[in-house]
Amino acid sequence: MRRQLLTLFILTTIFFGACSSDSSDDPTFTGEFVTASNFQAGLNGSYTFYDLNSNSAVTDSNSSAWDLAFTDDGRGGLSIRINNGTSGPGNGGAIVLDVDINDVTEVPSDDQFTVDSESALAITSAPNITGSWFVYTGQSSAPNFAILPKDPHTILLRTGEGDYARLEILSYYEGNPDTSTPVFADLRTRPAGGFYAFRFEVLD
Amino acid sequence: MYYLRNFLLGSIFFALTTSVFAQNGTVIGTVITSTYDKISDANVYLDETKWAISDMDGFFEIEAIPAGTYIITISKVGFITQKQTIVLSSDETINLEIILEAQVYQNGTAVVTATRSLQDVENVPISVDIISESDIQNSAANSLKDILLEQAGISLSPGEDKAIQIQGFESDYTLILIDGQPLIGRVRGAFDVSRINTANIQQVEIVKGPSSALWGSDALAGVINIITKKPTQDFSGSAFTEIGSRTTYNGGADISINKNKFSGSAGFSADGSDGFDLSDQEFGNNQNPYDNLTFNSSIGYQFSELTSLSFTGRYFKNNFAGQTLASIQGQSIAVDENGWQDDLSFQLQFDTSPFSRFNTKAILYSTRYEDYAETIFDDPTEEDIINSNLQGLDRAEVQNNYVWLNNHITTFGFGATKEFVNAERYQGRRNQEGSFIFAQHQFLFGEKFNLTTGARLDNHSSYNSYLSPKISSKYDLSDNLSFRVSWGKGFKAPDLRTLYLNFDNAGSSYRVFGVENIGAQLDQLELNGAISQYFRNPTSLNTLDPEYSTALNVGVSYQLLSDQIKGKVNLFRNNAQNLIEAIEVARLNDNSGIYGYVNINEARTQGVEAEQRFLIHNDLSLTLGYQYLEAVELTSDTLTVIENGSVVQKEVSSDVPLAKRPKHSGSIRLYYQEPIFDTQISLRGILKSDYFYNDDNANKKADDGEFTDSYSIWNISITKQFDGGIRTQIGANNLFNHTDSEFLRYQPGTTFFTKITFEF
Repeated sequence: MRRQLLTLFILTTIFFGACSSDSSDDPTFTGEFVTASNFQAGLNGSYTFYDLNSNSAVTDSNSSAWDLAFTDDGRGGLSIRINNGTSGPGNGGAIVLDVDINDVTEVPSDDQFTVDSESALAITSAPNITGSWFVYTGQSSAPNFAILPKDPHTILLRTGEGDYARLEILSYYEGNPDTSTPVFADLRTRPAGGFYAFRFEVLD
Repeated sequence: MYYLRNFLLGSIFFALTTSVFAQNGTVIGTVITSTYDKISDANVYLDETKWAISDMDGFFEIEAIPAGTYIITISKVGFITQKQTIVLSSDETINLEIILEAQVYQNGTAVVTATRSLQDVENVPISVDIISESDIQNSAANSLKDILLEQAGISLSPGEDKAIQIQGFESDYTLILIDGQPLIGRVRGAFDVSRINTANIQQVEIVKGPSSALWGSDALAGVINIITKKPTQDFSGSAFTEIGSRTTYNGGADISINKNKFSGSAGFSADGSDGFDLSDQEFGNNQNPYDNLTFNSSIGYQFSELTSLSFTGRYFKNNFAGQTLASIQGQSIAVDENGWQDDLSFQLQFDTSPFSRFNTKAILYSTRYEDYAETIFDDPTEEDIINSNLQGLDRAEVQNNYVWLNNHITTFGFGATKEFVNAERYQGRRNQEGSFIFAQHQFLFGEKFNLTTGARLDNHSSYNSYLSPKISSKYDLSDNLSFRVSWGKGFKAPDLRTLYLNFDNAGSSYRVFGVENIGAQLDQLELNGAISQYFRNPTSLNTLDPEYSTALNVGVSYQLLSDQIKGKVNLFRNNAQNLIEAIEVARLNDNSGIYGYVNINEARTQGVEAEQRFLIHNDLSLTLGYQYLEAVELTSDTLTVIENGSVVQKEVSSDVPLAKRPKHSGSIRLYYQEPIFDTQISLRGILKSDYFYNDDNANKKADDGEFTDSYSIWNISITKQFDGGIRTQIGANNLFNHTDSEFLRYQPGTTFFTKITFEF
């Protein structure tokens, strides 16, 4: 019953989403995702920067070209910044949703987006809480001490240049490994962390 | 009824029926034991319509009985119920001599765990599974683990090697008793049932469902009570030796006497193995080489028929040797790890009956458990790592039984417990104290219906006190069909980890603190300004409630074709609440997590247990066991979604399947008395369906890739009994060599064995 309601809700959302985009001639998500893999975060306080439009790394942090900035301390402490607020000069913003990326079809108004501030990042670094995009398994559940993207989750992004995108992080580990294997479970053989794989679609 | 019966019996003398009514018969009799002692207070029922009680001389009399055929039932607590058919004519007086056999542990017919008094398993209001001495003998099982595994309703928790699951609950939630007293020494909550050698076991009683109303903490999912052998003959003894693959060995001897007023026994058993390793890729063995040694002894003295004193002692020691990985200057290096665990227990029991129908039992019980492991480095500059842990429990308890004139039984008792743990990981010695009081009343409404109500209150120094009620009932629709219903609560005290853990390892990105420590730790971190975020209100982290479950069990047992087909089916449902879990409660500026224990989770397990026995022929029997199980954790999440163009947070609750619990479990036991060589063949199978192993991607769903394969394990043993008390056995465990290094880490490949037992 709950599932049916959810389906109905999704269908309605798609229907109304489709209607509204038809009437106002807004661009819509088509489902053509671009995938980035093994994008390594900067280590120990340094950042690496990614531009979704060009699907490539950029180096100039003092521009609106980059959309996401990654850093990692090598022991599970990670941060992802967006290009706005205290983090950059761009127009960036983000909303982390607990919704499958294919079901995120509408872009809410700009005031719904959060930007980075002194006290909190738009994409929170804390795991396991409402608004975080990943689960940290910790010591009590296997695979132990693993950072696993929430299923489902979607990060709705406003890019540095003010475009909209939907994005899903696929993996935090080098080579996007299968997390159900003993190789992954064993901390000695687990691939290195801080290597992001994600898929995204920019609205334009 | 009278009319019908008289009509059938006296149809020829139809005209005389009226005078039959006028001239009734009488039944008198004497109830005695097999050694001609008089039995007073025995209940005598005549077709449930009339009843009498035997007096001090064992004498009873029932008058004014119309002529007819009757079933007379004579029962007394502690004795096996007798039934006789009598035909009574008018004016006749029948004189009966009724011999009642004392109720003893024999062939799995009497149980104590259900009601705390020895009663016929057919009469108790809750379903009890019994593993009898002959089951153990036929299977040639070495340890309690091996025999428990062959029960359909019991699974081995795949991760925690030798710990068992009952009704979908982990080992933590099952109380393990030996002669009614708790065994201690759990590792991360799990009790290693391979610590118990089968040599001294008379029978194992398994009560599923909450039993805290009688047994207190840990009896949330059930109770396993190991009944040890007691001396019954003048002089007896046995010796056995067994060898098997991988240098598996088991041997022992015992001797016992029971003469005049004195009884005593002494025995030992030793078992061990070279262990096994299923995977070359993974470091270490699945089972390290080990040696176990168990001693047990008892002394008893019967002061009079009504008063006795007994003392029992047990000592167990396990030695193991293996390797572990240690981190030396950032490198993982294999180093030797050796250790042992031992436990010691004493029980002093005084039984007396100060007045008729009342007996009382006082018990002093003391037990210690210690484990010790050392990691030894070749490099003399590295300091060896030593882990030791000593636990103790002392208990004094009194239990009283009063049997009312109408055979109702009231049981009540009280006691006090002192516990301690002394371990570095818990910062030295920690003491706990508890006291408890319990009461139970068994109502009997005629012969067909009984009702038992009871409750127990536990007070404890380290958790809030808890009251566990239970009500259970049995109704016999006929001799061949009985129904049982029970409702009760069970609880589990917060364990040592959740109270005292202080895991603060500089090298790792997390710290875990028990409730007794976390307050001070968070205060200190707060003072240092190290905390960046709280996920929980820190003041709520300083106390824990017991975990508890409320359960309903509904069962039916039946027999067809005069015992040839016998079975029982039980439906169960457990709602567990307040389950304790370690969750991240705060995060530090360096992004490391602080974990604390909270009463957060709810779980639900429900299913069906069934057992069916077919006596196909006098020489061939087949027993099938089955369990269907659904086990889910109830979670509630706040999700961020978009509704009508705005970002909103929605509360969503969902059922998350609990991992490592097969939905379908089965057991097959085939027993054949083979005529040509006069041997007994016992073939046993354990069947498990595929099951959700682990939520590898932490999405709170059982995904396709997260299931194991289904499997079966088959064991066979062939027994030949020779004259002079010699029994030889050969067999193979895991006949078809099913191994799985990933999911069945405790299961070795085929083990062939041969065993010789000598009894006198």
